[in-house]
Amino acid sequence: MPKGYVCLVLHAHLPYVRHPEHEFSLEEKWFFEGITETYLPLIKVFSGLIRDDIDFRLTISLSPTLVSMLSDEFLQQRYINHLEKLLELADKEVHRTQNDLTFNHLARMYQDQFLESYYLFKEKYGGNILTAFKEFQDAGKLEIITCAATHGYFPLIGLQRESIYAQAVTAIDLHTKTFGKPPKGFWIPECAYNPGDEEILKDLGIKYFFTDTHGITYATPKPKYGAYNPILCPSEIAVFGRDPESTKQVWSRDEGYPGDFYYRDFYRDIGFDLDFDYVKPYIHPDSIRIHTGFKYHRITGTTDHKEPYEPEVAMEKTAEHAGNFMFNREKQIEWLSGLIEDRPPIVVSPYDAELFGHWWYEGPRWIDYLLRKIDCDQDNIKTITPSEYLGLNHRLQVCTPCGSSWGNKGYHEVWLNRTNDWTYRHLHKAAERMREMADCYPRAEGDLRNALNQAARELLLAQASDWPFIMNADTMVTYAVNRFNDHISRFTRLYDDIMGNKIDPTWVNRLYAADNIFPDIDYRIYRSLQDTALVEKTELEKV
Amino acid sequence: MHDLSRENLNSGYELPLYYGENKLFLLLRDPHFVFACWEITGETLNYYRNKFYHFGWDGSIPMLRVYRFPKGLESLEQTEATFDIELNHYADKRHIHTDVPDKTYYVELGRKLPGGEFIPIMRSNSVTTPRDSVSDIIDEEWRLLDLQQRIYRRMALYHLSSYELLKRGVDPEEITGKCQDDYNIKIIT
Repeated sequence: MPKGYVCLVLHAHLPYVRHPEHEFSLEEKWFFEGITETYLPLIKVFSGLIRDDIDFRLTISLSPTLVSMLSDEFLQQRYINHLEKLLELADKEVHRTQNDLTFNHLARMYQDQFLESYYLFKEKYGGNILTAFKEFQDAGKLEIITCAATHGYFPLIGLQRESIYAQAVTAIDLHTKTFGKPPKGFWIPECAYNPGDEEILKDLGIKYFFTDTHGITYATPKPKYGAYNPILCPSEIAVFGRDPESTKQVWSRDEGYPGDFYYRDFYRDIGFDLDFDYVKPYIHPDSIRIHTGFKYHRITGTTDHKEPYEPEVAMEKTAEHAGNFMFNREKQIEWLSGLIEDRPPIVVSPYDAELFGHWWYEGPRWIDYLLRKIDCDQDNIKTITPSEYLGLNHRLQVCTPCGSSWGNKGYHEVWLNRTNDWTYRHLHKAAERMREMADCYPRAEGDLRNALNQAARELLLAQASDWPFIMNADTMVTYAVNRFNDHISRFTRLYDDIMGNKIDPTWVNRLYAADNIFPDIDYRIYRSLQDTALVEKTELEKV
Repeated sequence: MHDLSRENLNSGYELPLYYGENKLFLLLRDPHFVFACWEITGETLNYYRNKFYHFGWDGSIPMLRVYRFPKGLESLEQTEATFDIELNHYADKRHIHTDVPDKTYYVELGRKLPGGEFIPIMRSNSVTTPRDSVSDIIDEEWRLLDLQQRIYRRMALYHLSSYELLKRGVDPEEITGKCQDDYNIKIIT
């Protein structure tokens, strides 16, 4: 029996970006980079672990917007086109550096990776890599959970409870159709918890969710085991808290692993370094230099001086860091198990998935090494999923978690400050109107139904937490503002047309072509929660 | 086939400047701040202007009155404190420094007449600010042994890594030593 458990959780999310009207968009490039640098490398890691019969568990939340993009045939084809361009550039790079011993093997390294990605994406998985994640789930190694439909920030959109219900039920529905069974866990966007929201999740069959550390440690009453044992909300849904130690080891700016000087530098890229005419076909069509993905240098230090990247040295560092992380978890759990005698402690380590591979190039290999070491090199700790841990059937302490998020300062300020607070009057008005329409037309058909469903899509897309986050981060702000304005404007005309009985089906179809997420959505998820209960009660009484 | 054109997809609609309604709502920001946002119609303002014209309405000042209650309670008899925030005539939102965590708040939007009387026009929803420290409520059945207090001590310090602890002159091993009162430990930095 292990002394305790480590629960690794990756949260994979990107906002819904799909721009068929443009030949190129930076926002779709985010998505393509996510596939190339994070999702496919993770798939390679999990495949290798299963092939080598490594016993591991990992939990991953795949957000509904990401799932929708990964299963979209138009974006799949665009990604293949994107990879073909990368392979073309790889050929040129191998040729350009043929007499340069320092860089040629790096060009070949990228060429090999992109060729493998091309094979995996196009040939092995037929363009839909979600099937890979489902295979790992069915093998019992990966627990896939869901997140809110468009990553809506619950504490700030929850004045209308129907908004939270709609975000959750839409996500659970898509997840169930995609992965063949309903999710047991729910990643609340940004770990943003507001007491009471969990009751909606509980009613939808969710067994657990996560909060940041202080969501648990500041809970009432004070949890006996801190963040090292889940607690049970009064509504009987379990909550796991983030472990601060393992978080810091990966995230710390000063001495976190990704900042090691031997790791690949993210910012230095041939898109900025090489002759303009040479890179022109692979950068922004408006001749703006951008990242191409070919990065030949290591972090080196804190100055602009960068030494060439040495993959073998970086690999040794990765193994060292994986060993260090495991050693620290062993020590931590040994210490905790001395204090927690009636149950094994659990250390929950959640991270943004895109940290691994996209920002931290060696990240997927670090996960690979870590999971192999935990399985092969010691017996004190094991990896586990939250639902497996709950299955151990230890009685949980009943507490109400504290409102919190994992954003800067621990609460909601990142998503509610002077850069983005103007959005909320529109979001709440739109949610009120959506509820009004759903109550007004309980059995719509034809054009009216299509218009109501599209209104629900526009509202969901407007609610994405990504827009206020980007406004606060002060990069790509125009895109976020435009997206928000577009969805609210379209919603507002839909409302006027629906309530004024003047729907233009052609325009609604154009909207659906542009914002085609959640094809199976049913606008009635926005019916007033109270009214829904009364209707059902009346009908039951008749029976 | 995809309709590639997004030209005029918003069909001339833009973000509404206002919705023509009386609305005041409160959102929670953190243990010390809430956010108020409002819209008030000209019709409503005219009603109050006519009603209080002779009490100097035209010289009145827009104001938010903030009410604080024990957590979960909000009847006026249980008000712990109130304070006022004067606004300019064009304001339609405000980040309010409520200061005290773990309390329930709502606000009223109104006007302060020249004589000092507050005329409330709209009342918001209520919100409860979260805690910013460990609860002092203990479940008897789950009472922490002295030894187990160290878990909190370690979490409070170990959001700092051992490297950072050493930089601050704290011996990481010291965390396993005797633990003092941890009720006020704050994990957020």
